Amino acid sequence: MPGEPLDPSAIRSELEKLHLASFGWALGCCRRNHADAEDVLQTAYCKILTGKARYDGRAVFKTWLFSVIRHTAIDMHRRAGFRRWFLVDAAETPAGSVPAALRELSPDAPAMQLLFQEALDTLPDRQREVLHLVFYQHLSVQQAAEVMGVSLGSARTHYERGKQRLRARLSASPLFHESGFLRPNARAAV
Amino acid sequence: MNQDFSDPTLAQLFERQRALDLSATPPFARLSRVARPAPRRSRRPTWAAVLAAAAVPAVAVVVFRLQAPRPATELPTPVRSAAIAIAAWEAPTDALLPNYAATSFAALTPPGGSWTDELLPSSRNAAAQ
Repeated sequence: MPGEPLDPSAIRSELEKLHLASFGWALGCCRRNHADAEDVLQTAYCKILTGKARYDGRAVFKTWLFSVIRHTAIDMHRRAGFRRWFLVDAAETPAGSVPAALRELSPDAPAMQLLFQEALDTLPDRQREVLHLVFYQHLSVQQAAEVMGVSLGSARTHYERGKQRLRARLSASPLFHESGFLRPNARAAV
Repeated sequence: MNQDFSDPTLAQLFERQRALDLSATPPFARLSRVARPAPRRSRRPTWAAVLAAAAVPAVAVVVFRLQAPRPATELPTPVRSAAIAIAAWEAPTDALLPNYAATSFAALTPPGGSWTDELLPSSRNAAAQ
């Protein structure tokens, strides 16, 4: 894929193929807020399909697309920060005290998964992003570095520190041990 | 205890999250509509904006007041008397200054003359005699 620009119909078809992964990444960039993730993804698609963001073929299409989504999310986050300080959105429903991760998951999601998401949310952005790209999106650390716009060494550092911190957070929760998730037979079933 | 959460365990947790997300993904056709009408939402300013707007003139007034020249004020009595004493002080040698030329140069011979001139009978002296 890298090395040649794509025509609009090919771009559309690539976007459609990567849609599920893109939405997962948008969710990761928006701290699991579904409404924000939809807005981010729609804006990113709009940028790409109108030619505002151009794929020049220098990178793999997926890493380029993820990079566009990430930058769109950062941009929207900044604007939302301004709105939060200076404007109240009249159409916005007041958010309760429930954390975003708990609100967005379906009610039948296991409590363990909620705790995992909460632990993930406590990580710094770069660490959370690199873990998502490697474990969730199955990208290499090198590709994750390209998406995040950092050097490979920096991405490796974020990756290792992120894993350490996530393990520490998860280990602090007794639920993981009580649930049997970590029993050898449970791990073997993976 | 951290050894429990090895890479495969973390990968399993991420996979479960991925499976949950798949069911909630909106259709591509909906999100890829380019010409979407931007929803105009009515917005009203927050308290932060109102406070910021009110703070600007208040800060301007404070800055203006700080930069304006202060009116002269009455000095405290000890300072005032000290100031008067300093202003009225005269050096001890000041008394010599007005008569300095008179006292120093009056006894000297005028330019062009000699101190022996006074010893010689001059025409003026002779006429006087």
